[in-house]
Amino acid sequence: MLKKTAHIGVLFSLPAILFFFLFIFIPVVSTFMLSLTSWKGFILSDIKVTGLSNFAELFSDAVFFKALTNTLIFVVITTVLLNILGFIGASLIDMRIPGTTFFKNAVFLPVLLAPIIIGIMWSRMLDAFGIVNQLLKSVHAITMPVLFLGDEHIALYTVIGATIWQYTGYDMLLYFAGLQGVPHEQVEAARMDGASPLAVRLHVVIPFLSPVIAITMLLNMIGGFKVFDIVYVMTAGGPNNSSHVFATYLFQQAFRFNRMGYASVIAIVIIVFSIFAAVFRLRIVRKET
Amino acid sequence: MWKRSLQTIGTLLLSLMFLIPIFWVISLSVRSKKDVFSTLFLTRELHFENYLLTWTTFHFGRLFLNSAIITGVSVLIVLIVSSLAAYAFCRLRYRGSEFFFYLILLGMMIPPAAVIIPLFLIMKNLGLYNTHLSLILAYIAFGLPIAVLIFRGFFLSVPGELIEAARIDGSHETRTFVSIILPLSTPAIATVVIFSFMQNWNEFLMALVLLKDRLLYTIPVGMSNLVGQWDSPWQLIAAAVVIASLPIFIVYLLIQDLYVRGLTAGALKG
Repeated sequence: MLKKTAHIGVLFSLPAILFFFLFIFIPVVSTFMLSLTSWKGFILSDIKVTGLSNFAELFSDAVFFKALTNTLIFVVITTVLLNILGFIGASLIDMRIPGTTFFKNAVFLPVLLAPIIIGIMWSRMLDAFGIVNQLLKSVHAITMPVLFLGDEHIALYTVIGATIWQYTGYDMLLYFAGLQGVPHEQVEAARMDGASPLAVRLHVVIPFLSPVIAITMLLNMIGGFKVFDIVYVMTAGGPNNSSHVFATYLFQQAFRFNRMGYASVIAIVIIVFSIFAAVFRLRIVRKET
Repeated sequence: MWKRSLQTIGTLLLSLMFLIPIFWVISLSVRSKKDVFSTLFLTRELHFENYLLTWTTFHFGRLFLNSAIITGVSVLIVLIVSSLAAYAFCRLRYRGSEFFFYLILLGMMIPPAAVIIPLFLIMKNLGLYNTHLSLILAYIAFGLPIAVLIFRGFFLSVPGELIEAARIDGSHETRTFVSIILPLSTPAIATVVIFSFMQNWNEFLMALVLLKDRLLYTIPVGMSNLVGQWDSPWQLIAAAVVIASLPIFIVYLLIQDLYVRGLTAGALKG
């Protein structure tokens, strides 16, 4: 009896296992192998084994370190701000005053769209001739247009801003879902004891939300480490390589400069960061169940 | 009372931060060439023909069709493959099934960027580079882990007695699954559909790498391509943004609650 169901179990799970092995497991292993080679990506027999030289190059590559710090800056700023804004937004909806449903939908709209579309929109808005510069000029805040995407010192932060604009609604919904589980009696009891609304949030609501906070922050971090679309479409890593993140630099090396071996080393860095995130995530999920 | 209306006004003002950019794009999309840079929001004339021009110039019919085929097929297969696997992982366990389950979960942690080079290589060698099938296969592989997780969580909550009863009645496992388990699973199915639909409809990197032929482009790749042509007029780009966004807005309006529930459940459980 048991043997029979096991037989069917193998059959049922086989397609999923095959997909995993073919398109995720084998590629991960191949990435490690490719990282030891030099290859232009055209003819397989042209692959040259070069040992660890790609890794050596990585450590002396200033653009890679720029991409590394940029990715970390991106992850930290988006994660922190998205969580704060998401929590504030969720608390606002939870007040259930007139207008909150409208607010919820307005903030959530950008979440629905592809990051590519958000990037295209904001590129136009922040262009030298876009509405933001038009407005700044009309109130005489500036005389020359601000080059939000053309200035090396600003470009990355502009992309970060657009990302936060897009995903605030997502964090807000997750926090809102979390808030629904906060026991009313405890909040009421704290209020009766004369705690201020802020104190209630800090000492009753937030401790209760800690699993949601952990998951949301982790999701934001994972999303940040793999960010590609919006950076690619807004700056493509420029100007002067100043706004590269892991994925855009990898893409440039692999598919613009045809340096598959070197790009694979960057891929390994991404995998290492992802595994760290995975371990954290497993810990959190374990703690919950 | 005063405080309440002030709060409401504040909330509405905050909403504007999210709506103004959208209004601006819509207003841009109906401007004439000479109004593009000369006005902030309002235009003297409305040029709806921009939409027609955009639709034909950028081959939007084709882009929609491509995205619909790729997303539709991959979501459907993810649904089938993941529900079967999840059922096996919690109700038809075998030696090693636990191991495979965790292995597949690990796939959730691998971002497409990390394996995009070998993926490109594999698709080339399979002769699938520059075909829709290559994207469909990749989307299935990357969509499976979270879908398996969602289904498994749901199946674990289905009372085991139900399955035992069916077994005693002599129902074949496949039949039990199809006629008893699946009809019960609509919430999980909805979550998986919404989650993978969002992911695949908006996916960019793999589509950018695996497709070369313009006629095969999905909406995101087509959009990035039309912006890449720097001579593309702004009002047409804006119209393109509106056209590309519209379907997902409509879907959202139709099944708003389901949509939100699907996204939050998917995220919090995954």
